[in-house]
Amino acid sequence: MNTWQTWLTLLGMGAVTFAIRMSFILLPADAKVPPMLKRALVYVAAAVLPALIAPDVLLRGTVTATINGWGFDALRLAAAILAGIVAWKTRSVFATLGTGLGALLLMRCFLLP
Amino acid sequence: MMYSAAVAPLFASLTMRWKCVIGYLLTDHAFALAMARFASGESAGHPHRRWHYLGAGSLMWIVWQISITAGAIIGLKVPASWSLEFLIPLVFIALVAPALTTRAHLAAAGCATAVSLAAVSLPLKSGLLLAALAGVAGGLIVEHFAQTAARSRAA
Repeated sequence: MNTWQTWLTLLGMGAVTFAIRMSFILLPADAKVPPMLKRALVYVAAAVLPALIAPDVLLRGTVTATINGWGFDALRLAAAILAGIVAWKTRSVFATLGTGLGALLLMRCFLLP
Repeated sequence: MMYSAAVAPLFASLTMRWKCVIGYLLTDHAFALAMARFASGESAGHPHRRWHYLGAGSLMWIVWQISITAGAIIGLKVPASWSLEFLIPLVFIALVAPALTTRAHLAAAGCATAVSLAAVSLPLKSGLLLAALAGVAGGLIVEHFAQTAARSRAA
């Protein structure tokens, strides 16, 4: 791919993502949104974010535990749960990041051979 | 697209110019912040919510541009053993944990988690879409049962 083709692709991708993001925002204020859809949208954040988190926590890293033949990184899971508790209690992003990453690295130092 | 639909009611009354700015700045984090602050609770319907969003969104845009440049330059020099990629799920945990306030929200999170793990091998990340739909459905079902239970208690 030459330079201008690369730029064209980047611009095209930008236009498409922008269009997707604008899709619903552009609806006029008096647009009738079905009440069922309105109720459903309340749960989008609570659904999408865990769906992004779970595979990252449970399907990556080094396998340190196995349940029924399914191996996963127990240290990542423990660090993520700890981070979740901190996030819930403190609502602080930095405290959550520090606890989660710190716990993961400490556990790796002391618990792994 | 789901983010767009979810924030649209918050900013429905704004001008076209504002809506373009909001769409341009719509990222995971801007979305999560806006929903956490303005969808419910004491700040719901706050008249200056667009300024809050603009501030948060543009700060994230600036940090994003700087970080992505820095990452491209020094990223390969950071050893993989630091597990910095673990910060990605941690940021999302920090954003979502305080928002899980009701049983219905917890159900949405649980269903989405289960489906995202089961459907992870589907092509083009369609597992994420399935998981999101399953989560929303789970939230609605629990909400429905909670309302029915509350009504029968009241009666």
